[in-house]
This record gives sequence, C-alpha cells and structure tokens, in this order.
Amino acid sequence: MYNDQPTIARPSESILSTNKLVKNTYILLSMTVIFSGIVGYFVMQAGLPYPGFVVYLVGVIGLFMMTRWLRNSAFGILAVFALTGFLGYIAGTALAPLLQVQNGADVILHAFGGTGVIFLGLSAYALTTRKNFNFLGGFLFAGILIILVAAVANFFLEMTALSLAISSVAILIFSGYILYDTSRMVHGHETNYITCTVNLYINIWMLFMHLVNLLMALSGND
Amino acid sequence: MEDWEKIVSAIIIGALVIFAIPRLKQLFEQEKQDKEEKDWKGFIIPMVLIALFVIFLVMSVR
Repeated sequence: MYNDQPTIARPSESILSTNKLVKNTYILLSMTVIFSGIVGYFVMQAGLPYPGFVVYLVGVIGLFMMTRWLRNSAFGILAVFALTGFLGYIAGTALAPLLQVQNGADVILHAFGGTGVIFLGLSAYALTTRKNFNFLGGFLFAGILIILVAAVANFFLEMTALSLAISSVAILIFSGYILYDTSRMVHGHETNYITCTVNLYINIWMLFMHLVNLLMALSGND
Repeated sequence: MEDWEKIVSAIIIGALVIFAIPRLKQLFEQEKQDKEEKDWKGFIIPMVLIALFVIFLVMSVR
C-alpha cells in the first residue's frame, strides 16, 4: 500500500526552527503557569482583595498590549510574567471564596485536572496530526466577540442561566483556540514564542476559570 | 459589581468589540482566499469529545 498524495517537502531549517519555537513556547508556558500558580496561592493565603472588574479589564488589556509591543525584545519575557502574575492574582482572589464553600476545593481540583487533560489532549492532537486549523480564525474570533457581548448583557441581566451558557460556549471556544494557536505555531503562521506563550496561557486560564464557574454552579454550590 | 463598574466595563468591552470588527472582517477575507482544505470534521470531533468530558466532570462533582 502506498500513499499517492503529493508530498510537500519542508526544508530542514524550517523544521528545526519550528521545533525550537515549540520547545521555547512550552518551556516558557510551563514557567508562567507555575509562576501564576504560586502568585495565586500566596494571594489566597494572604487573603488579598479582588481589585474590581474595571482594574482587571484595564490590567489585562494593558499588559496584553505590552507583551505585543515587547515581543521582540528581552523585556517581552518580563511582560509575559507581569501578565501571567496579574492573572494569577485575579484567579487567587476569585478562587479564595470558593474554598470556604462545601465541595469548593473538590471543584477547583476537578477544574484544574480537567483543564490539564483538555490542554494536553488538544496539544497532542494538533502536534501529532499536524492538521492546519488556520481556517478557524474568523469563526473563533466571532465566538469571542459574541461571548463578550453576552457577558456585557449579563452584567445588567444577572441571569445564572446566561452565565452558564457563556461558560459552556467559552470552554469550547478556548479549546478551539488551543487547536488554532498550536496549529499556527506548527505551520509557521506564528513564529514568536512570546506571542505563542501568551496566546496559549490565556486559553488555559480562560478554560480553567470558565470550567470552575460551570462546575461550581452545577455541583449545587452556586 | 457596582453600577458604575458595570457601565465602565460595558463601555470598555463595547469599544473593544468595535475595535475588533475590522480584524474579524480581515480574518474572514483571509479565510476566503485560503485555498487549503478546511477540515471541519477534524475540529468538530475533538469538540464533541470535550463536551462529553465536561459532562463527565460535572457528573463527578455532583
């Protein structure tokens, strides 16, 4: 049996640079996940306050823009740690009250394990099959915008059902983004490891937070 | 969330959405020009598996 499809030869330099990009991205990603976990743990232990949604929003947008501007310099790594540390702080303040609720620690552990399984599974799928998911860009971006509009509506409506619907859709959208970002990295559409790390970190963080929200509400502890 | 926080957040997110629309149009135009095969099945199957996995997680915390 033979495969009669045409083979596309890739220069060895391109393969080497992709491998280097993947390696650098996953090393920086593991360091940032550990760092934000440590920040989150200390925030929970110290009982530091939630800074408010406006500070969260401005902080995330500002630090995200900063990582984009500094992505080609050594300061870009500092910007990545600033962003992930800030998101670790937000996660710590959001998760601390859940630990006071019965079953809260169990829900957080389930969400953490679930996020790990989803991320590792999707990354392995995108890396081993080398499928090109670049066509998902518009679809996923439209999904994010719909989630943002629905979230704004829910600030005023305050409906639990809408919050759960947003989290359910967000879990699928950010899972899709894991495939999309990994595929872009493998196929050379994105060549900067700082950008790749930030994109993947945000996908993981969003996936985890929405999974916590969904599991908490459906475990009967909302 | 305080009322002022809701309003300011809504304004920031609204501005973000308006700012992002040209980027969305650009992504859809790029997609139209892209001649590569769109493997929707390769995307939908893992998403269905994730949905089933999340249902399993929900059932395990109940």
